[in-house]
Amino acid sequence: MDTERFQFLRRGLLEFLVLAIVSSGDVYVGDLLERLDGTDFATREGTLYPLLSRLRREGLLDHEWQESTAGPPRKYYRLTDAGRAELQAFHAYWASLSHLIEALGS
Amino acid sequence: MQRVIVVDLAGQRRQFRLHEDAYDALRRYLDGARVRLGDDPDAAEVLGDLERSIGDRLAALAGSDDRVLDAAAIGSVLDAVGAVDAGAAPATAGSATSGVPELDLPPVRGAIGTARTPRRRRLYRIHDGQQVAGVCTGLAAFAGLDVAWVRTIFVLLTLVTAGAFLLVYLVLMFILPVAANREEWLATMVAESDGGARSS
Repeated sequence: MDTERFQFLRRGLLEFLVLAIVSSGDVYVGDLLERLDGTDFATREGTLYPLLSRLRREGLLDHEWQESTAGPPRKYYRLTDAGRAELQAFHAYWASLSHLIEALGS
Repeated sequence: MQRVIVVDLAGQRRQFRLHEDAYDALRRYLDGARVRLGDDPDAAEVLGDLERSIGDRLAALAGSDDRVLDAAAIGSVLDAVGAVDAGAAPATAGSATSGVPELDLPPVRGAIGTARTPRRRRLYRIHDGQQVAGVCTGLAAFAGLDVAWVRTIFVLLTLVTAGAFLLVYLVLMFILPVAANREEWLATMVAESDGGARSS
């Protein structure tokens, strides 16, 4: 079931899942890890940080430092307007893609 | 007995005490991360992020009693954080390879990297193994000599100068800072050379 092809697909989808999770409000990396844990998209900081920094560079999300109750301050991420638009576009594209796959036959 | 190295990590107010091999593993991880990030324009920031995450996890392991962390502890933390996957960032050379490249590189910008710069030796009195006040043990550590040689030289000089050299001992005894043992002396040295440079 789990082929290398799927793995390739997941790799490309991860950034949209990250955008989706970040869209729920201020989240820090621990929240992202927790939300993805146990799913097919479970990941680690070594993957997330480079991805988050790229999404920020592309203007899709931004972060702000906030004090945490335990330990040092944390970066909390949130979507920019461009990020929200991107996520919406992804939802629309995903829907049209599923329609297409259905329409092409089972 | 393993040497203990005191390190600062970005964002952490506290310091961590690591066995030497644990420190080496951490350094290899960060060097490897930097190589994998390649020319990522945010490489320094990502390294800082990783350092903070590692620090958070180490803090949980070290606890409030500041346990010395061994290679197994660091290994579990580095495993949890995971190797940098630059494939999630724009393609960079070698991003698909696994295993941390072993390269001799200039230090990373994080505080841990600065510990690679030559350590400044400082003269301390060292209580462990002292006969009087630890001046000779401190001098021996500083000069990298056996303490017996230092003591012999001291005694000879004192005899030759008809006791006047004893004043040197007294002066050193009052002006030198104190370390409990050789390990602590080493740790102070590393901690000092680490001071400052934290990645933003």
